[in-house]
Amino acid sequence: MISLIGVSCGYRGRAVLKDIDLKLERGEKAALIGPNGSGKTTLLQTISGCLPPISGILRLAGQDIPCMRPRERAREMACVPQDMHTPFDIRVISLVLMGRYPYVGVFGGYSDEDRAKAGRALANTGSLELRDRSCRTLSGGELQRVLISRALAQDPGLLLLDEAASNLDVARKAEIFGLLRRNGSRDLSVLAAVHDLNLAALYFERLIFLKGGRIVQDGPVSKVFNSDVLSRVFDVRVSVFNHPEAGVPQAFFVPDSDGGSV
Amino acid sequence: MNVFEARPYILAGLLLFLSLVSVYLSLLIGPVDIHAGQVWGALVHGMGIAGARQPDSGVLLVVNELRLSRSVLAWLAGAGLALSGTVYQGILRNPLADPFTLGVSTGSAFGAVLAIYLGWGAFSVAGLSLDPIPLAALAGALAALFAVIIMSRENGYIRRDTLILSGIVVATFLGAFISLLKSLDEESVAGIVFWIMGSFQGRSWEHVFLFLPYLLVGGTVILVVSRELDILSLGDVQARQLGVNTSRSRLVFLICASLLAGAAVSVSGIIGFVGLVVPHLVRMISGAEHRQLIVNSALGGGVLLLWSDVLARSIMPHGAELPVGVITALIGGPFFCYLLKLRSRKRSL
Repeated sequence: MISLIGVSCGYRGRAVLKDIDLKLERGEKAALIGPNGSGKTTLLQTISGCLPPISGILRLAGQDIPCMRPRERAREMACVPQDMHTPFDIRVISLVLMGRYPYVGVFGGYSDEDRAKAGRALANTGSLELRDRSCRTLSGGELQRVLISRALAQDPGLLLLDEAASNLDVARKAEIFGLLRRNGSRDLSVLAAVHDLNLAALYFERLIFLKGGRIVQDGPVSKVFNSDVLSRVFDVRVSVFNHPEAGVPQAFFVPDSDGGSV
Repeated sequence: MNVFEARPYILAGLLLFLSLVSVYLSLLIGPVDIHAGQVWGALVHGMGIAGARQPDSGVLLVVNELRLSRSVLAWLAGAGLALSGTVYQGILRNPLADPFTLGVSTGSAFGAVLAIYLGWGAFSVAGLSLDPIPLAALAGALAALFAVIIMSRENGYIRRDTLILSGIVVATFLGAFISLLKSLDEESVAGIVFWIMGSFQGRSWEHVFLFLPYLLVGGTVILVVSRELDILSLGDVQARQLGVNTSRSRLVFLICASLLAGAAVSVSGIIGFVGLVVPHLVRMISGAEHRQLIVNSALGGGVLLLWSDVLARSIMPHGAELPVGVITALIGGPFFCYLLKLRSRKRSL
């Protein structure tokens, strides 16, 4: 689906990420994990075409990402932001219909098919009852569900999520990831920056660890999710145990021995 | 269709009706007493429908030539300013933006002031006598816009913050030139000040026809691509991820809105607050989706400026006139404060 070869990217010529090689197959679902400032958002913005790469090759479905027209890109991949910075007074269905923008001409209007697709996307995230509400009246969890609906309405082959659940409480987080798993068809690739390691291990099959602008580890959960890797990435001691029900590894941070309790 | 969906349409219908009634009522007001029946007769006659009785030629002149052209121009200019303000607030993502934020008005004023200072008289092209001041004002507006766009381009992108900064720089610079011209020529100061304050005094159909094409073309383009305005309001990153060519789209809106504002200023001087207040008001009533916001702001701006002009020309005794910009600022300022208070109270609830 996407392949990055020797990509360096960042802002105003200052490379945040250096020499990134990354391949994501069609239908593969991977989580990007790393401490703050490791370059997760920068990488996602570069892949989404919002940030021109400094060097290297980025391909999406065989095409060179920086050369694609915005409209073509938006048909192939959709992004779910962390939140809408200014949720303004617009109806939910109008926000979701924006996902159909890359399919209509500049002068054309949304067709019945577009409306049906937007409605279906809302239904798939269990948000149909929000259809006519104003975005300003939504809770954080509801807004994220609507933003995911918008991304699904884009009919993308690749879904990028930039900490799409980080601002939510545990139950909402689980709801959002569960929803992605249910809606993620076999063909949909997902690349998600995830803040919560344990949720990443629970919901994703492949983990990509970023640190200091480089990929330090990349592989299936069972291979890379261990105390060695995690301690190295986050510079803190980590113990790993298996989840009592799901069976996947989960991480526990170990406080410094002299730290004591707060 | 539920209430939430129907509200913009109801508002549009109401404002359209109010616009027509307002234009008619405004024709009744003025130093010459003309009663409602005579006004109606003159209008019917003016539309080429043979009335029962030929109206008095003096009444015809006052109603159709003087008052109607002025009312129509005030309505159109108000619509253009409000429309332009809506677009600026959308692309700059700044609720305090108005048609004059980017210095277009100052450019326009500079053009007009230069024409007044140099004492350019009317000239005729193809048998038409043209007033040079609106043309100079329009040229000034375009030049200012051009300068702002050139200054705010960075690697082919137009950035929102540099756009606002360039606007302020251009406005300040040209403002200084206006002051310079004023101090060079004491005699024309009164004319310059009156022009800058904004007025529809002595405007005629010629000005209507000068402004109308800008409103029609600019308004149509803006309306057709208004969907992009909704998406741009989410910010550049999301807009690009949704497939909008943000630079091109913003440039189109910028040019259309600035042409509208520049054309409005060129026929009426600088009239503040219409472009700032009306979009806020409409947004509070019928939401922030741009298609309806654009239509309803235009209609609302028209009604507001029409009545402001009626006040400006009728509030003083003995036919003296106030600049209409003074009226809109006197009404608009306190009203805007009230809106802000209302909004903060809503938010804290």
